[in-house]
Amino acid sequence: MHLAEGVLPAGQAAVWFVPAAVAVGVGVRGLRTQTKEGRQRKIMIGMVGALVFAISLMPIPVPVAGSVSHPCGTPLAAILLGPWVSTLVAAISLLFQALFFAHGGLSTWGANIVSEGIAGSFVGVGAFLLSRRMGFSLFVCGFLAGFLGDLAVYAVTALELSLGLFGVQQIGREWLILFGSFLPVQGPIALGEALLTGGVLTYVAKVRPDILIHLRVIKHPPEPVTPVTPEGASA
Amino acid sequence: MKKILTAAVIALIVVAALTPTVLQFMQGDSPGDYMGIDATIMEARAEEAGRPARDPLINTDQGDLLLFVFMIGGLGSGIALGYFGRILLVEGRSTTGQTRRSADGRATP
Repeated sequence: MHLAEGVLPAGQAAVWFVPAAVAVGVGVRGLRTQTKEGRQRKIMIGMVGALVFAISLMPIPVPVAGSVSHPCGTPLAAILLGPWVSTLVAAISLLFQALFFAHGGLSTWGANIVSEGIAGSFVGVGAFLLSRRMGFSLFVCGFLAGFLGDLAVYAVTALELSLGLFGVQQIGREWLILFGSFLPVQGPIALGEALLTGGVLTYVAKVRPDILIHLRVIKHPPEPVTPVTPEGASA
Repeated sequence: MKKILTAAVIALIVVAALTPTVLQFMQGDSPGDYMGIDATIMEARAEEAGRPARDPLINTDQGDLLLFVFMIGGLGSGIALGYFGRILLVEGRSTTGQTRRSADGRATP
């Protein structure tokens, strides 16, 4: 997800800026629309921005694999704010990470936006909406969104790198090698992101369902669990 | 039936997520040095292909400077998360713990 400075040829790095710029532009328009909805939406955007920044920078060790990687945060952001604003949030986080945290580069900023922002957001929200239509619970839908969105980010990163380093002729083989190398570390982290996404959505649905209704994530508050009284028990 | 399907989907995902990790561990290929995959996979592959990574524009990866920067970043994002989270999830709830509703009974933000 954090392609370092200079690993992509200049021409290819520039090409990745085109879809990134389009997505960020649509995200800016979406942000302007959303901030007009009121103070709560602005607070939500701020909170999600901080969440994506922290989650995508957080190095999580995977003991069995003996290595470290990052979750993404964009699947959850896309469910809450929509995929375009989520891409904008990811772009801003990636810029700070490239400038001050030696994670990612400025020349690869476009490619990183495409992987973490666009791929993570759209695959995440797509998985969420599809699984909602199939009737799964909110937790399971968030779980699927987090897992598939996380892996999509690294699948696209592998694609960008294999295309940049080895060209179209060897892209299939190189993509398999790269993505296969990511999986031992990223698999458990994607699982963690799945639990986080499902858990956050379930928690917010429990304590502030009106927020998720307002964001059009759910249509109705979750039904409260009514305690079953034993037969013959007096009131 | 739906519960069985849900459990099956989750179990499948857990197995799919953990199988590559376990296989790598069993083959003894785990790096074990806890370097990030950004460096061990992406940058290493790029270097093999003749495109080594360049230093970033502002190179904070020097001594303990990166540690300091990560600490500031973590502190800042943690404060923002806690502050905004409190406003949204704690202060936004009514004193009775019920969802606030408008006069016509609709849930309100």
